[in-house]
Formats: sequence, C-alpha cells, structure tokens
Amino acid sequence: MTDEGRQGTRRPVDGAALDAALDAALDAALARWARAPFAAPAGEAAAIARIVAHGDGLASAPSRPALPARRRWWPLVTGVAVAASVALLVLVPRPGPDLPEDGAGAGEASFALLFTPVPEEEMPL
Amino acid sequence: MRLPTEPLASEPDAETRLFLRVRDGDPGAFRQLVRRIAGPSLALATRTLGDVALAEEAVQEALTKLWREAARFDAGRGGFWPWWRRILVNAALDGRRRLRPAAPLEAAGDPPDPAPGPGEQAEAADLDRRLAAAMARLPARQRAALALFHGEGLAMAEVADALGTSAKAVEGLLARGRAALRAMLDGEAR
Repeated sequence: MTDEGRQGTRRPVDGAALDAALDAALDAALARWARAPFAAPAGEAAAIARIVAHGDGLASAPSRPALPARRRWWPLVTGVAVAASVALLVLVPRPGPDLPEDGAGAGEASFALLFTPVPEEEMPL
Repeated sequence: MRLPTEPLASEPDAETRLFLRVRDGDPGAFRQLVRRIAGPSLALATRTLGDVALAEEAVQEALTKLWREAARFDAGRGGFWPWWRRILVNAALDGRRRLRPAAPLEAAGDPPDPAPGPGEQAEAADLDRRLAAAMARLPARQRAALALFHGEGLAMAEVADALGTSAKAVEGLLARGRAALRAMLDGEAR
C-alpha cells in the first residue's frame, strides 16, 4: 500500500483522536477556568468585604422591608377579561355587506367590483 | 471556591439551618450566612459576567432579595443552595448587566495539578489565557451554564433549575458554548 493510501485510511482515525484530545483539553481548561481564583486576591477580598458590609446593613435595618403582596386575584381577573372578550366576539352580531336579499342588482355590483377603469382606460372610453 | 452541590439530605446543611433562622427573622443568622456565601457567590457571578464590579453589584442585589423574600423559603422543596443559586443567577443575568460587554478574566495563576512537566504547564497556561479571552465573547447565559456545570459540578437538572429553564435547554447552551469556544480557539491556532 502506498503512503497516500495508508494516510487515506488512517486520517479519519487520527482526526477522531485529535478531536477527542482537543475536547479533553477543553474540558480540563474549562474546569480550571471555573475553579481558579478569578481576580487579584486584594480585589476579591475588598469586594467580599463590601458584600459583607451590605449584608450587615440589611440585617441592621430596623425592620425587614415588607414583601410585595402576592396578587392572588390576578389569574381570576385575567380569566374574566379573556372570557368577556370571547363572549363579545361570539355574541355581538357583526354587520355584513349591504346586498339585497333577492339578489337583484347583484350583477351590477359584481361588474362594478370587477371592472373599475384606471385613468388610462378611461381615456378611450 | 465552589458552592456545595450536595442535595438536601435528611439533615439540612449548615447554610439551610442558618437560613431557616433568617426566615424566622434572626438578623444575626443573616450576618453569619452572608459571611459564608459571599466568596463563592462572587466567584460564580464573576464567571457569569466576566467583571468583578458587576458581579459584586449582582451579589448585593441578590442578597437584598434573599433578605426580603426569606419568609417565602420552603425547606421542603429543597435546601438553601438551589434557592440561592436561582436568585443569584437571576440577578447576574438581569438585562442591564448581561448586555454589557464582558472583559476577559485574569487567567488563573499556576495550574492546580503540579504533576505535569514545565512544557505541559506552559501549554495549559497558554490555553487558559486564550480560553479566558474566548469566554468573554460568549453570551452571559452560556457562561453561566458552563460555570455551573464545570465549576459547581452540578447536574443538568440542577443547572436548569438555577437558570430557570429545562435540562434540554441547558444541554443546548453547553453544546453551543463549547462549540463556540472550540471555534474561537481553533481559529486562533490557525
């Protein structure tokens, strides 16, 4: 078998192995990224100190801020509004086209709809 | 530092016990709790946002919410950590913050494993530096998923819980994040 032939049969295996190696390297790098210290220790310590001071400030407040009341009525109001809209759509009669019931004049009406001359057509007429 | 990932066992963990006291209105317990969670929370928020100042702001906002909403905590539905992670990640991914461009975090100092030789260490350090730069170009949500999955060692369902989405969506976030990182790193190498 020629070198080319051997390379041709080996390449997919090498590609897969390389891919797996790159994946493993990326996994290891991601693990280091996600667990390594993320800032200069002094900066991190200062930020943590400010966070702790913020927490102390919250705990020292005379009273915990009141929770916003849960809107238990909200789903009910929404449901009623939706039901009312559907009822309006279904029950209120919508005005239809003004056509005579016996069909008289329907021909003219459809002719008028089909043939509405544009200005260029009007010239020879 | 990593956030604990153990599921709530029959005996609640220390933070959950403290938070139960906070829920009952004990300010001293809140002070203690803040001291315990400040570091790991800042780390997670920083990895998500790529900026320590923004992360600090997010942690403070999340703490305020934690203090205000403590009364709603139900220990029967999980321990303190899943509850806190949800609040923290929400605060970090708040629209005002996540749309700001992230700066690459400083690459980690020495690789944690001293076993590899100097060549491998240099290679790993170089990859870490390039990865940090590539990370800064990912969307914040993908960074959060990667940080929770690789850093906190959470399962897909736990990451999904923290991000307020489904495990399937997390799978997609991780796959897209990894693919983007691979493309950026490969592009640099060429």
